[in-house]
Amino acid sequence: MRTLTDVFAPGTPTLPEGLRTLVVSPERELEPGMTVRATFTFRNQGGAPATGVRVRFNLPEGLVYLVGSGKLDEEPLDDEQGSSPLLARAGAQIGDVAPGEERRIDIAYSVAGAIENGSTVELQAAVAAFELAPVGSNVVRLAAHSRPALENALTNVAIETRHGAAGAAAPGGEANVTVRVHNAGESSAHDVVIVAPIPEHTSYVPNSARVNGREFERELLASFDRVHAPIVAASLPASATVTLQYRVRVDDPLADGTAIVVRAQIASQETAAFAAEPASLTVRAQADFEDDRTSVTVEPEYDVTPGSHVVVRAIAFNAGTTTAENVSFTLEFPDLVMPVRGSFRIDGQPLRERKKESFTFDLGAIGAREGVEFIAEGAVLSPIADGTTLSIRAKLNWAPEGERSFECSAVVRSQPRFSARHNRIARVGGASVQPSDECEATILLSNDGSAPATDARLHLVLDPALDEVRVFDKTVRLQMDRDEVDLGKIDPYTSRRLTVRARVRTPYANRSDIRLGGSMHAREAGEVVLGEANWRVESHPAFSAETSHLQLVQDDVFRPNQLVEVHVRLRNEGTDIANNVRLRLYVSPEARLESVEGATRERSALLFGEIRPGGTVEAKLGIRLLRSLAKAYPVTIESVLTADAMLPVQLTRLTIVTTAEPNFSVGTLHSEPADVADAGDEVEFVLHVRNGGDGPARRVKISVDSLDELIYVPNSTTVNELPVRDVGAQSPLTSEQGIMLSDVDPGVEAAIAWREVVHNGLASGETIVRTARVAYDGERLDEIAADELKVRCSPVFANAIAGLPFGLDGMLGPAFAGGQRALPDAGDRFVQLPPAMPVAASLLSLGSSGNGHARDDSEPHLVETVAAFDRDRLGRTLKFLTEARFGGLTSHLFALRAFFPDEAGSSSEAALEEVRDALRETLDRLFIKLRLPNYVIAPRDLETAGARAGIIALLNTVQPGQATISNGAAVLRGACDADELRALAARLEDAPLATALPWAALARLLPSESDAEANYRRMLVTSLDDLAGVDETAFIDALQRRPYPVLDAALNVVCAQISARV
Amino acid sequence: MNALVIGLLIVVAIAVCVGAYAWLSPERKAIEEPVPAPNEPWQPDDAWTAQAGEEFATLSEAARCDLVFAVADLHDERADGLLLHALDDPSEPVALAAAHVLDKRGAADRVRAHVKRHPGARAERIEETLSLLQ
Repeated sequence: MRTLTDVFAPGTPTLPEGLRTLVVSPERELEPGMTVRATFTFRNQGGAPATGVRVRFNLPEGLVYLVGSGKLDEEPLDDEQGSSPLLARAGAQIGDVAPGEERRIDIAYSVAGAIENGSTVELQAAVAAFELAPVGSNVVRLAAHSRPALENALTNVAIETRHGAAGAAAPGGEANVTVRVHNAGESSAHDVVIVAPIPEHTSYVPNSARVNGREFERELLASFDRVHAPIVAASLPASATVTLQYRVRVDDPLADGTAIVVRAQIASQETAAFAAEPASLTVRAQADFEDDRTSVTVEPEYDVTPGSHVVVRAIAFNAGTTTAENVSFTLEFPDLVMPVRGSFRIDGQPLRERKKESFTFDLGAIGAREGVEFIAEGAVLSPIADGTTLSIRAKLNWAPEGERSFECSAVVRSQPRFSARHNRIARVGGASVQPSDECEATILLSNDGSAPATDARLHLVLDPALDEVRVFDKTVRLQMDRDEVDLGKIDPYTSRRLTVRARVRTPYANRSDIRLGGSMHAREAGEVVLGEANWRVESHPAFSAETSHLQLVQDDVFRPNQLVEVHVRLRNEGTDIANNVRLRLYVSPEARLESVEGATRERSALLFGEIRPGGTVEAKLGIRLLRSLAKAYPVTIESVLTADAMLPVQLTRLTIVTTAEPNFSVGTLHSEPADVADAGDEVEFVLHVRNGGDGPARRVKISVDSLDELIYVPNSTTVNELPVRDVGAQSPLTSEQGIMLSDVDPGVEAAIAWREVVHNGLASGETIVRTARVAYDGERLDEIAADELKVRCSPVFANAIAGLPFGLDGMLGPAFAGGQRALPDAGDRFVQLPPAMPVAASLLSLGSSGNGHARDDSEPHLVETVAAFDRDRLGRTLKFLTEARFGGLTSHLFALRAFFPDEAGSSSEAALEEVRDALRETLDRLFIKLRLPNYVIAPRDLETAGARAGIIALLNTVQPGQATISNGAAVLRGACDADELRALAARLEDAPLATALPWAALARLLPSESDAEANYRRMLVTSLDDLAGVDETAFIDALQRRPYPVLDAALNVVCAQISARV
Repeated sequence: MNALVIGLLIVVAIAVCVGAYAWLSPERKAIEEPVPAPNEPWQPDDAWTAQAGEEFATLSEAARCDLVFAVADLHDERADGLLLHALDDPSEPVALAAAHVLDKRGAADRVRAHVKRHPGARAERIEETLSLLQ
């Protein structure tokens, strides 16, 4: 049994017509583009429902489904991918059909654009169900009606040159002729004929005809141009095109502008003959001078020498297809080439001479394939650079509008030239020179050639006697590279005058000859020898005081008996050898010549023998200064230098600065007793002075100041144990003149002694400083100080002693004689804290209980606080407090965190916990921030509104009572007044944030059991209460900047005590 | 009664067999011990602020400290990543602040892991200071 899938498969027979209910419109014929509508109706004629019903239509060739036209019972069937399920191989699923139920299927087709005339289209539908095999409808057959259409826009004729240019062709060139026939109809055209004769003025290129690219003459069995109306296509389907092509050759010659017209006629069995629109091609013919036969040349092309002639030869050949009219030739010589008059010729015939020469020459008319020769000559001018390219331009003009330019060139060969007549070196001035004299010569260089000389270098042959050789070009100094001077380029027909100056080397031998030679080298000219100049030397020895002298080896001030080293240096500045050199010395009487090194001594003269020019001799002298020196008279050495063949030279006098002076800076002043003296004691001073210098002191004044602490003992002053007269009641030492010593030689010593009494009204511990002054030679002043002397005395209260019948105010009493009380040991440097204040009885009762805590339960408003520390927590707390020492009051805020109670009376544990957490969070963050360098506390770091509310709540809810915690290594207890806390809470309601009041309230919760704790809490509360009225800025200032040393110390004591408990 | 005992014995035997098979099965995957990350030298990194927003890219030391505390007050679990990143802040107080708030947020183990991963004097100081604030 066939299935619905394969009922309409290609090649299968149609289904038997089981239902004749397929209705198609149109019924008989169809044309391209027409819509074909099919309606298939079927009814379940049986008594049982048909299930899984499917319907399928065939899709015949030539028809296409009209999208969206499939319907089931007037309801559209959804298309799938542009096709109806009715055309699918499995058909469209339409569900079940009940008995007696009728279903209607509609579908529409469109006729394809090209369908062969007379072809047949068959339509059939089929229906199947689960229970039923496919049943076919009646077959509807439709006949197609269509025709071809050859006359349309795509059917045309064209002609174009082989290079694709449709507008113009050249005589002798080829052109392609194309005839296209397009079938724009719906059916094929049969026996398509094209009549396309060969156009006039052309000839057919044999075997070039092609139909759709294939050779056509084989089918024709004759040449294409001999067949009149060939059939180019037996059948031309709809929308197809047949192309006939062939080539033609354009006749040559042809007149310019000739038109080649192509005409064609087309017909087929179905189409009457018609003419296609003709196509044309215009022929262009012109004169032509562009090929190689037209040329301009110059002879010779190379090695053209200045002054010679060059020949310009021009040939104009018309290679075009028509005559060139009014041909003219224009010649243009470069500046360096001068036309030679009378040298112009056309086809060998000289032109007429004109006074005013024009360089445009009329060549007349030149026919196709004809030529003309033109010749001209020019003379090359000088100077001109070697290798210069002489570019000669020419232009050929002809009518109409023809022009061609030419350019040819000749290369010049040109050379510089330096003749011996114009190039030489000559001396300037006399022939005799002395060392260090300057000699001068002139070098003349002249280029007589026609080209510049490049890379010219002047090479000087210098005598060793010449120094500082300089070369000048006029006033400009030229740079010398060893013995050579770069002259660069020397232009043709130019001259250069160089001046050579040199200094004769000194020293130099007398009567020597000096030569200065030279040569020049240029790239093009090679070596040119310039000759030489000569001089003769005159030379002698010479000395001067500037370079020959005596000099101290050590520039210093010398003292008596000292050996002074003198350096002698003699230099021959002359230009010849100095013989028998002698230096005569004249030394002051205060010194004598003791030793000579480097020369021969002959009494007071030094012999040096021979000194070469420029040579130097040196010697060292030892001069001993005598003791009889005087400061005002320095030692001098004068000297005279003599030698053969020269005048004596007096050298500069050498002065040796000497000094000899006294010195009293070293001396001693002693007292007896030396360190401590009781008030009223007598003290003896001894001053030892000594002239420790190397010169005598004419006058020495010794004096001391009169001190209020000391009272002079009259007649007690002695000098070297000789009494000295007092001045009034005072020692001469304290007078204005002092003690005057005269003529104190070096090494002489004096001892001056005097006695004084310590004033008994001095206070104990006062210091007496005694200084002696030694002034000498009017300007020197030395001070000699004794060791400090401390006054010792003791207090006294009594004004009466046994044995004295009356009381006496101001008496010295027995204590004056000694018996002082021993002083306490001064080694204790600990800070003595103020004694701890006892805790007020109203706050903390003294009854002992447990951990030493005092309690009195009779106090109804007392809140007991407890903080218990095990060993670990205590260690951590103490370390935390150590780390939290940030200065100011800040450290004590951290103490509040550290000792915050774990319990407070019988108050709410939650409130306490809340405050504890807030306190820890606030202070932990502050602790971290304060570790930032130079961190300044901000108000928000201190308190938040939430924390404030927690504190108020705690203070309001805290209830008097006892805390219950008692375990832990250390239990810190405290007590505070509940009423006071509530009063603080009331104040806190209105207090601004970040002020001291909340901290003052929390400080009251600190432990206060021990004295140290109570003391610390009291001091902290006091400090914070003092700050309660200040604003946040002042409070922060107190926190970070104000020092609290006593409070810090109190906290230390608390920490130490707590630490000791564990 | 005997039947009940025998039934129980059979059930126990089957359970033992299943357990033995599961233990000895080649498909059983070995339990891999977590491998701690190797120690690395600490590298300062102050780019963590950019994670909070572009406008926080360049902050002073004190401002970064405030940012740490501000982030901590947000009570956002996602802040942990930012705070962990802040542990690498070049400023030791800022890193300490981050460690502190992480510790308060219950992420003390992550702080310890970070300190353990980057041992050194800085890590020791942070750990010691953190212990003081317990």
